[in-house]
Amino acid sequence: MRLTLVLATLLAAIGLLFSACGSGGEPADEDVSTGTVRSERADREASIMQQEQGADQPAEAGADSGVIAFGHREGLPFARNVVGDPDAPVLIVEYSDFQ
Amino acid sequence: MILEQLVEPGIARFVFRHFPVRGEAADFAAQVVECAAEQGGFWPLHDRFMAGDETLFTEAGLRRQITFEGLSYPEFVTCMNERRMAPLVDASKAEGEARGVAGTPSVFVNDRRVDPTFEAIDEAVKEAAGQTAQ
Repeated sequence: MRLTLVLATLLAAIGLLFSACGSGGEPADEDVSTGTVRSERADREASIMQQEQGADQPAEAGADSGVIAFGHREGLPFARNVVGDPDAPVLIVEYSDFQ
Repeated sequence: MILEQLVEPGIARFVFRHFPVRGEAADFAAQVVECAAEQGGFWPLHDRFMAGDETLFTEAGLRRQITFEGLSYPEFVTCMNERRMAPLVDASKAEGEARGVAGTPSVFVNDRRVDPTFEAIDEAVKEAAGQTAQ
């Protein structure tokens, strides 16, 4: 009985991982978001875009902002996909993808 | 070069926006980076992908890197499973298309499109910084 439970848990965990990273980076399960969740997403996207705007708009504090602790960007402030001094007069925006 | 000469001295901020045009792998990578960003891991993952780390396209490699960065792998997996960041990646690409971006890399300096070479970016940044100072 206990062995069955352990096996079932293992299979569920493996299934979860494969759905996250499965065949060649295929997207995972179909999204079943509700209207409310979509609204929250829209708010989050707006907030992220806002962080990229003018230097007079400081980024919100949180896990996705702070100061880079190590590496070649060490000491630089960041806010998600933005790096550099929030008061810098010039904004460089790069559109790119990963090969 | 952009980082050392333009961002570190405080002349410019740098924004990376997704514009996946190389198929499903590029789209997957963009979502990986954004799910890591939810936990403050945008730049480390960005750098690994830019360095061509193909292990990030495997489950083991992803788990290792996410854990190495001190991020929660279960939270990351949940984010990926829910495709939570797909709308953000799509929005980023749509925004680029609206600005006339058709290929990568495409670079804008204070909303002015410039050649994606360091020389062109450097010149545009210094010109824009000079205008701002006046």
